[in-house]
Parts: sequence; C-alpha cells; structure tokens
Amino acid sequence: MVSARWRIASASVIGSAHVAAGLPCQDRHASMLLPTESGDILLAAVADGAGSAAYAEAGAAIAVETILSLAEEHLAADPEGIALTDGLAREWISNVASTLVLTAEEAGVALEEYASTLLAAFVGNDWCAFLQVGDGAIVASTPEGGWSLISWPQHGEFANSTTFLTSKGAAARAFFEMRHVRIDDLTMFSDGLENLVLDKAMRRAHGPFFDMKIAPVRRSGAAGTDPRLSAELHAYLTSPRVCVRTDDDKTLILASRAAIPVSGETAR
Amino acid sequence: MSEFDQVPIGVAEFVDNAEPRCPCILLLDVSQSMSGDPIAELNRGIVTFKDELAADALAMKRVEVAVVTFGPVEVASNFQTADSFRPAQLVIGTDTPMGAAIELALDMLDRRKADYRANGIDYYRPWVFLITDGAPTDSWQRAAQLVHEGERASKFAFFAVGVRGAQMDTLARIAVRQPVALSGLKFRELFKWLSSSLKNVSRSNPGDRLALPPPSGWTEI
Repeated sequence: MVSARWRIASASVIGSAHVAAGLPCQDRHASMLLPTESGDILLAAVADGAGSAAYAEAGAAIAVETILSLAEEHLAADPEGIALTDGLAREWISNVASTLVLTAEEAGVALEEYASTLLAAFVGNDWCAFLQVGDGAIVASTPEGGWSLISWPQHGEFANSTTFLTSKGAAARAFFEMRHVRIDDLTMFSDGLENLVLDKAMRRAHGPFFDMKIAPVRRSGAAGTDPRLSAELHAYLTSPRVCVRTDDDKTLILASRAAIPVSGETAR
Repeated sequence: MSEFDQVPIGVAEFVDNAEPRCPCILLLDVSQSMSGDPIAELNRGIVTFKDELAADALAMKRVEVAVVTFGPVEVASNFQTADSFRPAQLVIGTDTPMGAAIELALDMLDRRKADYRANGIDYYRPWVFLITDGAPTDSWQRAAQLVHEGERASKFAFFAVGVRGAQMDTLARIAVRQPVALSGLKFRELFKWLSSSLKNVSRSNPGDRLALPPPSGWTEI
C-alpha cells in the first residue's frame, strides 16, 4: 500500500483541577515535518510542566522547542538517523536541561520553577526514534494492525511522582529507543490521558481508543497539521466524557501517513 | 458532533483501570488509660472519619484504610477502600506494645504495596497515623529505626499524635516528623483534618504542590 503524506491533529487543553486552582494549562506540544529525499521526517514533542512550578508552562515550551530544534538541525544532515545514537539523544536531553538552567538563572529563580517532563518522537522513512523523561507515553501502530506501546510512563514509586528534565540524572534515566522499522501512525500524550488509554494491569495500550481516534486523521487530506481536526480534538479533550475521568491537563498528538482510505472502505 | 466523538456501539472507548490507591493505617492505642471519655471520643472520631470520606466519591474509591489497635496488638480491620470500611466500636485492651504495633503496621504496608504492584495498581505515598495517650510498654527501638529508614527513603509518611498523658519525648524519638499534642479530646476535629488531607493526596498529580489543610482546631499549639 502506498503511503500518503503525514497528517497531524494535536491539542493541549487545560484540566479542571488547574482551572479550580487558578493555574494555566501547563502542557505544551509541537510538531514539524522535515523534507528529505525519502519523504518527510515527522518530529513531534509533548511536555508537561510541574504543577507546583511557577514557570511550568515556560519550562514546557522551552522543552518542546529546544528538542525539536536540536533534532531538526541534526536530521537535516543525517536523514536516515544513522548518527542518532543513545549517547547523542542523552546529550540532547542534557542540552534541554541546560537551557532551562540558563533561563532560570536569567530570571533569578530556582531551577525547579521550570520543571517539566518531555516526550519526543522522530519518524523517518524506515526508522523511528523515541525519547522520554517523565510520564505520559508514546504509542505507534504496528504493520500487523495493532498498537505498540513504545514507552511506559516514568512515575517513580508513587502515583503523584515523576522525573523532570530538571531532576538530577534526568539524562541518564531518560528512555531512548531507535527502531529500524517503518511506522505509519504515531500518537503521544501527557499523563492526563494515561489512565484512560493505557491498560495499567496488562501494561499495554488500549487498542480501541487509538483505532477510533486515528481514523479521522487517516481520512484527512491535509498537508501536515489539519487545523479543523486539531480544533475538533481540542473540543473532544475538553468534553464531559473525557473530563469526568481526568482533571489534569491533557495533550494528544495524532499523526498518520497511512494511505487515505477509499470511500466505502471502513477504517480499522 | 466531531469525528472524535464517534464511538461505535459495543466498543469501550477507554480502559477501565483500577483507581490509584491512597493507603492509610490508623495505629490506635486502646490501653487501660484510654477508658471512659477518651475511647468514646476516639470511636466517635473514627465514625466522623468515615462520614467525611463518604462525602467524596473519588476518595471513597481511592483511600484505603486499615486499623491496628494495641495492646494487645490486633488488626482491627485490614486494608479496604473507604467505601467498604465500617468503623467497629473499639474496646479497652491492656498495655501499650507500641513498638510491636508499629512494626506490624509497616509490614502490612509493605505487603499491601506488593499487592498493588502485582496487580498494576498505582498508589500514593502511604500514611501511618499513630494515636497514643501513653508510653510504649515494649521495646520500641527497632520500630523507631524502621520509621526513620522509611521516612528517609520516602516510603511512607508517619504521623504521631499524643493524647493527654502521652510521653511526647518518646514519640519524638520514634517519629521523624514532630509529634503533635491533641487538644483535649478533639478526635472528631483531628479525623476531619485527616480525611481532608487524604482527599487532597488522593487527587494530586505529579509535580503538584500538595496543599494540606493546616492542623488547627485540634492541636495544642
């Protein structure tokens, strides 16, 4: 089956707990497409600022911008990701952390005020790489038609704890994986959605959710981010059906380069 | 109605995960000196505790309560979610084997956490809440060591409350956190504070500043 271009729908929405506490949405996300000879590389990132951090949303914004900037610069010269090693990925994380350190120093505040998690995915022609510091998760489709849980939320022992970019040893403890396979659908989300879409007892993705939500993205004819779908995704994430299950900020990125289904064909 | 709202019939949109648990062990002194008003007020306080939790649907599913009384050391009720917790009328016992009671409670916690992990259930840092009006009549040094090690490793949060007559000095050597003296027999106010605190914990998200209500209205200070 011939693949189509990447179509993306993404949204970060404030949770009711943050509204009640007078806090802003502290989730951030970003994505971009890097053109290469063998097709566009998808670069995507999600970050969730710590609730108690005064500049959490700034920390999250810096995290997603910096990681995409580092990855874009490297992959423009290395489109097959051959030099994208575990060591390099951890250097990038240290780099992001250093940017937060400098920002905090300039602002004259403690580093913790910029605490944030970070998830990132880089999807090339026949390779893909993932990194993660903290909670939330990355789920990608498999050629067999299922969903593969790429990374598991880093929570530490307790439900209300996680690692941040600003934590000691964040780069060493980060998750990194490079896979030499072609994936056609990628999803990433912050911890606000974890309990809805990850089966915690079986440690796997809840397939039906991902099947349902990737379908509109597969049907989209947009080039890159589909603004209408992103707006619908935003509305969905703020809907009562979702908010009754989670009061935290939520981010969801849905991206697909699967062939657009011909009308009459039912999406899986 | 957006495309994201469409859910086919018979398909579960979301996974039905178990709620994360917020375990709390009540370690309660029922020795001779608690006879009369003290134990009557303590019993009323525990009923208040359940009533306050019952007013919060999420807390009912997340907060887990176990009750250990001493002496003798007895598991009055093992861990269960607040919705199943039925306060039993506590009766006066004998002496005050506080050391053994603490060691049992910490062991119960370890086993409960292992249960959670085996079943993929998330949990918050457990609370151990000791209420006593006396001094240990047994050896308590090992218990103190376990409390210190546990607090250092952030394994649990251990609180000690002294009712009038309590040996606050000894409590200060067992607990890491400063023990608090109960004002009179204000058990109901204490348990209201405890249920409110546990509700906050059971709702907290990673990175949140945990806002515990100030322990006013039931402490001596």
